[in-house]
Amino acid sequence: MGVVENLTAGFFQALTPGNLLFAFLGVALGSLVGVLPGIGPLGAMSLLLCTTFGMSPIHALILFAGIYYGSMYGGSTTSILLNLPGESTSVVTCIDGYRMTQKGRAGAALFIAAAGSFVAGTLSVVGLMLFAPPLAEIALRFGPPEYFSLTAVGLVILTYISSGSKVKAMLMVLLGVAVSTIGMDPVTGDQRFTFGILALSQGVDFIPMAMGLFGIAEVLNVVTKSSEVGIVQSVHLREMLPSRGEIRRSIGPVIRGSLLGFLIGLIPGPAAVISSFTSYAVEKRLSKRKSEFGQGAVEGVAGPEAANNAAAGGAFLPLIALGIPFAPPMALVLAALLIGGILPGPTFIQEHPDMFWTFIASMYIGNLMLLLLNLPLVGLFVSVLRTPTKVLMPVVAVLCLTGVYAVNSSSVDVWVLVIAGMAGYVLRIRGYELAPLVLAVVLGPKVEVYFRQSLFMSDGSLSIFFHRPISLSILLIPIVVIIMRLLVSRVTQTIRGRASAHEESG
Amino acid sequence: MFCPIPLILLVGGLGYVAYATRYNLGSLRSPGIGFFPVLMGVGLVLVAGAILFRQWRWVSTEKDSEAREAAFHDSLGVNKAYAVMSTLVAFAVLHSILGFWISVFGAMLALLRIAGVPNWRGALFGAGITAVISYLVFEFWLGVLFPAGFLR
Repeated sequence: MGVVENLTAGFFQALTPGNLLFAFLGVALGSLVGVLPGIGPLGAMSLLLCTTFGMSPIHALILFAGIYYGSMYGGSTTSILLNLPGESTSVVTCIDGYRMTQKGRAGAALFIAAAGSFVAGTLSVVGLMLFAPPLAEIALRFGPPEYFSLTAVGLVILTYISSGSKVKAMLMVLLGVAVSTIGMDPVTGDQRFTFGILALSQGVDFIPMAMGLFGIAEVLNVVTKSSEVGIVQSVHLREMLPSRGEIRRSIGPVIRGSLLGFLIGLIPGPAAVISSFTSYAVEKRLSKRKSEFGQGAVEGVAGPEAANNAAAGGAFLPLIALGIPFAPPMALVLAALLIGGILPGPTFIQEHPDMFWTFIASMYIGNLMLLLLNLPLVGLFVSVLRTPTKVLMPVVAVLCLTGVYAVNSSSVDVWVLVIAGMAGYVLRIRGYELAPLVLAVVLGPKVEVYFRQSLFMSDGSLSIFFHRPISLSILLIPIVVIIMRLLVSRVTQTIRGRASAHEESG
Repeated sequence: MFCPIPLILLVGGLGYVAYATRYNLGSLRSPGIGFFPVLMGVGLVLVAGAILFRQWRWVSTEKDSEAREAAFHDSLGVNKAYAVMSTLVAFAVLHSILGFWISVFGAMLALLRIAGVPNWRGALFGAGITAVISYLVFEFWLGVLFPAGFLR
């Protein structure tokens, strides 16, 4: 069957009441957690993981996907109205979005953000639909050396693209990989670093670790700052239509943001955050009205909001086609699928075509739901923010404690949550990024297994990673990126040097 | 401003490597279970050492580091942070002894007061509601079994 036939069949499935209900629940919850600081999509998905035991895998997939891309929509609302990003992906939207609110254009900014998010979300699903099947076919030719190169390069790129200190990010990656070695050896099944504690034999679970590092650490961060939400401006539906000029100025940024976001979504780490910042920088560079940036330029809202939504869609591609989660929320989608007995990867689309196409169709529907849900109900979502942080943060902390126990019925997980939360808080205020640490915990066992299997295959020769064309191509990616970046900075320096010399002589 | 994180990770990394060498390291042809941890541990020690060295050079040239450190701690509201951390640790210790829902009630009560709920009546009400709703959702509706503690 072709794409059209498959997609039509997917829509028939996605439009059944059960699938529609889970799509709606997902996007509504996603919008809500996007608005609220503290819990985030990762926390919400972690809390709901225990509910997926009694759920069909397609329902779990639709629900979790809805939460993830729904949170991107929700995050922009508070950025625009309150200068308070609900999610880190919407930080950059504050700059021009809030200035638009101050100028009385809040409704237009919200409309542009929602419409841009819808277009980008839809385009990213098109990308996922078109690229996932061929990528999965290519991945069928992957062996352990290729998978090792892919995961190891993923961790290297994750270090390289981190916004803070690269060395600190590298330290977090190594710490995460070290933590991932606790428990059963993935090749032989022997115990390592368990110190005789039976509960550690299954290793340190990713879920309490992520909930601690993101959820509890955020609670600590907010409680210690004791900031409250300011006055929320009410926005009426009739005020939401942007002017023709604003629409015209938004089209280019939305399309560029969509493409950029989808591509950046394919790389490991906090791709949605990076894509929004990159889009903002690109739009500022391309704009004829550079001086308006920071003063309420509509391009500064349209581009980043499109980019972070497209990145959320793009992040599904490595998971669906390769079985590798390159973003922390994708690790939870993977966990939900594994609970349902489904293993994503190169054979996933061949073995479960109905599930893949239903999922794709539900993402189209979910994006439409988000558009319809967010524009008229923006006031309702913002009113949630009026909940005082002194009530909200304790609720988030207790939900984390309860939810984390509910996943595995394990007291060790409660300890992991608490320790990770405290460590995450300290690491964050000292400038250490947490995303590399979490992703290293997820990818660490895969890196080790593929590395050791490759060495078994090659009789101990490391050249196996360089002799196989696909592996070599993957390994060359970061080298090419670094060389290109060095060349660009060298050329820029030379041009600047010549320009300043010319000015001095002139 | 001296940050102890790289020092802790350096010492922890050394311990990790030392412990990993007790396992079978194998060879490149047949790596044992200690092979990969040793590689990662050595990397961890080297990177932590590099950060520590850079930090030590920076601190030694900084005159007012102590004043900055004090201002840094004040700005964080460390007392609240310690109180929240203590509550979480107490929960982790007590939830299997007192029972999960009693511990949820206690933790919520403490966290509400720490976060700034001004009166005990409001905090008690909030803690009670949270414990009851959590019980109804997680144990009654989802069927998850939580430690009953001394009530068993």
